Amino acid sequence: MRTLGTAIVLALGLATDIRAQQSASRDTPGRTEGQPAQSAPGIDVSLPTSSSPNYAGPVVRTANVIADADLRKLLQNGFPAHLSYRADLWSRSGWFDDVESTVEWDVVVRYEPLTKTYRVARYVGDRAENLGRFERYEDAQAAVARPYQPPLPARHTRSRQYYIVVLDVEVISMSDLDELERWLRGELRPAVRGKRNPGTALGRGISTLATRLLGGEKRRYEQRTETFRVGNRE
Amino acid sequence: MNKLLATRVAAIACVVVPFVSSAAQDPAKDAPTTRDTVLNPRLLPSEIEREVTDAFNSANTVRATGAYEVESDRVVPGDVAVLNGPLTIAGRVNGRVVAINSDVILRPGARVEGQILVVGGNVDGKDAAFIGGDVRTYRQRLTYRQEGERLIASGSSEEDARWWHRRQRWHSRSYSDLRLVSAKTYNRVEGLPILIGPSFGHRFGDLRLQIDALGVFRTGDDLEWNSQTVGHSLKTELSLGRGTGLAVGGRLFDVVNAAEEWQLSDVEVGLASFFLHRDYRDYYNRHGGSGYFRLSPLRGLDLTASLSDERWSLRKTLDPFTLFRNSQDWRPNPGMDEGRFHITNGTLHFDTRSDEDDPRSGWKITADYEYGSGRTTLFGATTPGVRDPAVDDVTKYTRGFLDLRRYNRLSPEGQLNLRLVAGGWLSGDELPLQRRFSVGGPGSLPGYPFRRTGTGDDVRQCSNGVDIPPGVPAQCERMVLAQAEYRGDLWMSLFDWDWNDSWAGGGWRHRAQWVVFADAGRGWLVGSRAGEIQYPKGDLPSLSTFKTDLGLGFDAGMIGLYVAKSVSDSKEPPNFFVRVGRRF
Repeated sequence: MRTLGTAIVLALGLATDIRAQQSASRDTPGRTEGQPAQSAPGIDVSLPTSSSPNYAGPVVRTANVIADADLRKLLQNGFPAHLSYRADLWSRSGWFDDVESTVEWDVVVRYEPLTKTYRVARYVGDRAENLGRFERYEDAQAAVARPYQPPLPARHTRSRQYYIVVLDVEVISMSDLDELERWLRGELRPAVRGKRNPGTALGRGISTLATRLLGGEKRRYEQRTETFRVGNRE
Repeated sequence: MNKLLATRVAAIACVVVPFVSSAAQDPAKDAPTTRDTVLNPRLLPSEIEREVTDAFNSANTVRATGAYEVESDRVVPGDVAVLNGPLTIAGRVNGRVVAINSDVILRPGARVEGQILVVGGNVDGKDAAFIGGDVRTYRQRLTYRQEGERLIASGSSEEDARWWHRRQRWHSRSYSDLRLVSAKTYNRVEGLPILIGPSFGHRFGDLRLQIDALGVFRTGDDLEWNSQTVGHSLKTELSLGRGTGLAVGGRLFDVVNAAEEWQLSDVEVGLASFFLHRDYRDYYNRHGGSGYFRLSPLRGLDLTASLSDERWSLRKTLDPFTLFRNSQDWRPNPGMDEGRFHITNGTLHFDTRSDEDDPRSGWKITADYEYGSGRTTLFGATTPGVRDPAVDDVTKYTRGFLDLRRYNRLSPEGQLNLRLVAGGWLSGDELPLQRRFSVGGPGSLPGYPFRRTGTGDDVRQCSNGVDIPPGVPAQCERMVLAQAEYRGDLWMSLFDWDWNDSWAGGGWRHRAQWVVFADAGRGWLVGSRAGEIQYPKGDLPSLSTFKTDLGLGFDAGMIGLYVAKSVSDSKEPPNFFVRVGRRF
């Protein structure tokens, strides 16, 4: 009785963390579009072409980060995919490298069941840019994959510089719980930073372990450019 | 890619062409040649949504909602836009005509000098009217909402922005929910605590009010309703500003707290407890209330002053379910001091890390000053010599704690991270057991086992090696720990996984790093010099008495596998351990 009760309550407790995955197995629309040609998921960051000045900022390309079936199921069940980008400009001088400036932007892919369309939008600060509504998931992926050049110009300095871009892909609906957890834990700081994996410590740990091992819920991609000097690559 | 594009263009052409009429067959005499296009896409193109809403919202447009007519003797100098018409034109429109979810009826002799754009409707009477521009008809209706007189298409960037702001709940105006969530972490004195209750938030301009009234139900033992299994956490805060600003709040609580939370994360403690039957923390109960004031002058910097009145009590070890070793006994939760205390805290947080989960550069500093006073009703058991036998039950103490971390990128591929943790008694009476320290184990000195002591002076738990209380409590009044690690990116490809500065296969999509690290630290008691355990308040132990270790690791981002070997005690065997996330 005790073991059973504990197991039930534990399952209830953990349900808050894994509900997204559970719901993903229900009500999945019977869409059977073929997958696009798959290359490795990730991001590519490059300096502008030689005809462009280096200080124009990096060009970020995203490939297949929302391509897998798990994430697609979550999307179709109403959990938007949140692609959170951060681009840092680093300079090499002295003992340690320094972050000169940072730009963050987000891309959200969500499914509208009424119109059976995927909606893609990019958010930079408070500004939203509609990247389109698509009937085919592959077209939504293509919209996500469009190159983007964040406004992160290199500095006019003699130091070598490089860009690092980090992309976190997560199911946005679950991140609210993280803030609540911090709040309830008695942390006095407002949760104004970070988008960590949500849920309770244990639940988060288990779900993170399981889903990351299985390629689910939240992933991080990182890429950096070669070092360069403004107007003269190395 | 080009082939795909060509295929799509061809497909669109096949769909579109049958619907394209060959312009007006018998236009009005003076009508120029115009294109008359009827499109029936399943989705209204976003550029058309934008075009019709822009036209409708333009200040220079004559706009109407519902049936509207331009009489035969009337001339409209500019554009006309009608929502949910129909729009009847018998007179003249010198601009363009936009009909949204509406038909356009052109009477004989009607003149439209510009284009006609119809969304969700038809155009009748084209043959008997003059149309100066193209006629475009989309069968698909526009989905929209109205803010005042302003029309906003559901596919617009504006609608995306609205959705985004709605999702950013921290910045939202208000919310109220009923919460059912598990809280904190799985442990041997609570099992899994579950929180249930209402949660409310409201924003008044720059002011934000939050209230949570949650009951705590602990599942560690039999499912009963008593003071051991039930608690509460009520919290309210009024804050001003977003990111920076100030806040005042209060909290009523009957919760379980850990004595040393600085070593391992909640996630790691919970996983170790649930999977491995190893709980790396000690716990006590806090019941009372507190108030606080927080100032956040800069983003990443906040200062908090708090005052609380609380009763501390013991938590007995339960036997919650674990996945492995479930039949084994838990390490007993050490007995701690009981009593009622007034706690005054001043806490500083400074965080300039480039990333919370994977910092590459920046500072993270936590500094806490605590003044406690109260009456102890029960002293927790300690090793002989740890406490003054003549101590009375009235307690006044001050304690400091500093956790200073610096993350440095040495090159694009490598980084050097440093951490200094120091804490301990500052003045007054002896510290309660809840406020004492230990080092050793995966969170501090991984070359040494957690809470395991041998014979002789033990500078990790501050015991003399005999008469050690159950659970091996942390007994040190002061502690210093220094940690350093060098991390280098790994450039390799395993098992055909595509390495692109991140692993991209098998679920491991994280940058991997190799890690070499070193740790040194120890704890001690404060008093007249006694062996290697106790030092006068103005003295620091000799560095030669510090426990040190060296280690190597492989950090795959989510999980790190490490091995550490004691340097200062050659007989200590190497320890293998796993960390979830960074070491610090």
